[in-house]
Amino acid sequence: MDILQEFWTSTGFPSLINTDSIFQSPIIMIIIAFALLYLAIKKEFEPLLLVPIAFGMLLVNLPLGGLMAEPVKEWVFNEELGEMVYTTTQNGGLLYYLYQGTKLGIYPPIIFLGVGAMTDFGPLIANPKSVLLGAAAQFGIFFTFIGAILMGFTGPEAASIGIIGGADGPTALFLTSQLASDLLGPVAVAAYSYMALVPIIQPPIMKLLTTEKQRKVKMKQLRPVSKREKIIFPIVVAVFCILLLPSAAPLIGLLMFGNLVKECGVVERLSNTIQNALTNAVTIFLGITVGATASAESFLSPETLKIIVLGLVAFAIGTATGVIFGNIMYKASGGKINPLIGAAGVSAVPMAARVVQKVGQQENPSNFLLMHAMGPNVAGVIGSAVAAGILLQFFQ
Amino acid sequence: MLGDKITIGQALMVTGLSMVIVFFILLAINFILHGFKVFLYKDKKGKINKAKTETLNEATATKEYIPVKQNNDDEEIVAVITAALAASLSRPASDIRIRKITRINQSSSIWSRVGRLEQMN
Repeated sequence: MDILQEFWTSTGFPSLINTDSIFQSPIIMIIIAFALLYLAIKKEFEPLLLVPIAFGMLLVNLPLGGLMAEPVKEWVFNEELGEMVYTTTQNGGLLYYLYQGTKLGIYPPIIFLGVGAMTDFGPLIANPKSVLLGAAAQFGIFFTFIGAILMGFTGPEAASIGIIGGADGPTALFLTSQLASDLLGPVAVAAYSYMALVPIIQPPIMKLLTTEKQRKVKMKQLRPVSKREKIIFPIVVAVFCILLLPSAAPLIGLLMFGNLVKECGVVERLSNTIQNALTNAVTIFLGITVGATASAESFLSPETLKIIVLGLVAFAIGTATGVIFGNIMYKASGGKINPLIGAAGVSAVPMAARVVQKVGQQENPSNFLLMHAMGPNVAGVIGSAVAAGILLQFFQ
Repeated sequence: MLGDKITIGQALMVTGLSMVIVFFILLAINFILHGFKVFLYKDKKGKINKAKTETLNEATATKEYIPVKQNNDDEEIVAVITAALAASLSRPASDIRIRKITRINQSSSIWSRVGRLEQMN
């Protein structure tokens, strides 16, 4: 009987129930993980990241697994040296070590490398003005930053929450890992949930801020972009941005390197590896370890709820400022620019551009805005990386 | 630069300054890209449009099969289309049976098609 009881206490079951309060219970986290898995698998909400995140969340909340346990270090007397040495007496958990890549800000820039290798900056080069829309849509980040400060978050935390409005997963994770790693779980869940919800969040805001006539505007076809321009672009942008904002170097540097590898055309093998194997492998590690930061103690708090709400505000304001700036450009260009493309300035590539295409086509089925929206869309990626660099400069 | 606890005044300062910097950097990229158009794009035109001829070659390559089609060499066309389909679907050619080939007239210009193809790849 004793053996049975001992076995029972060594399992995870008793620990599932034995918590101080119901709000600290891993059971709630496990249910949230199941819900996220359902959304990712059944509804296909950003499944590439949500599946690993949700599973990481599940693993870390199953009691006694110790996957995120930190290594135990102690002062031990070393007989050979005849003195006390500070040494690891017990290794950490598997996910703890994988998590170091997230915590030290290694994985997100590698994902950016992949994003660079998969992004075509052609539409941006062909229509440079769309860069400004990418800038305008970043305002959501800073408005939310103020909101978060007002709600009692510290400066670095507020910056990490605001960056959700950049609608760029890797950027948000990078900044949060550097400034407020305790918030990684909630920020990741908020950022990726809203990115998946772009087709639901954006259209009402876009319609509210534009007239039917504006939405029907057909834009002039983009000029062709030469290979030479596409090769020079990442080099020039990397040099310029990093000289101006050194703290953005990890993100902008790898984004542009990835793009150069894609565009230069002489390292096809590297390009393939970056686009597929490397990005996929790092996505797995990033996702599962970010999910693993969401333990019951850190996730189940009023702060998480605030972050989720603020993230939505950030997203909505980013979309709105993009469209408002699109409106300004519509007027300035004498009605040649469709203000809808401003909404694509929040980076969420290529989802936001697709939403623009869809909303534009609802008004005018013969209108193809996709390529025009890709310009602000990829500019948004640069914009949010720049914004992250600035916030890093302020708070690190 | 700033500590953990910041005042609203500091937050507003961060916001204002950050927005200005983001705009400034992206505005500068905008000008750099305008520079691209002036220097690289025109330069290209000067050299009898090197890139254009490149893409044109590509375009004519896709166009070339049309005269072949008119040579009544139907079996060959079927074989080519089957092979292309098999390659793009990554299925054995024996799985694919071409029943009917209808020629679709091009409604958009070659330029826009090439542009679109480039974006897709």
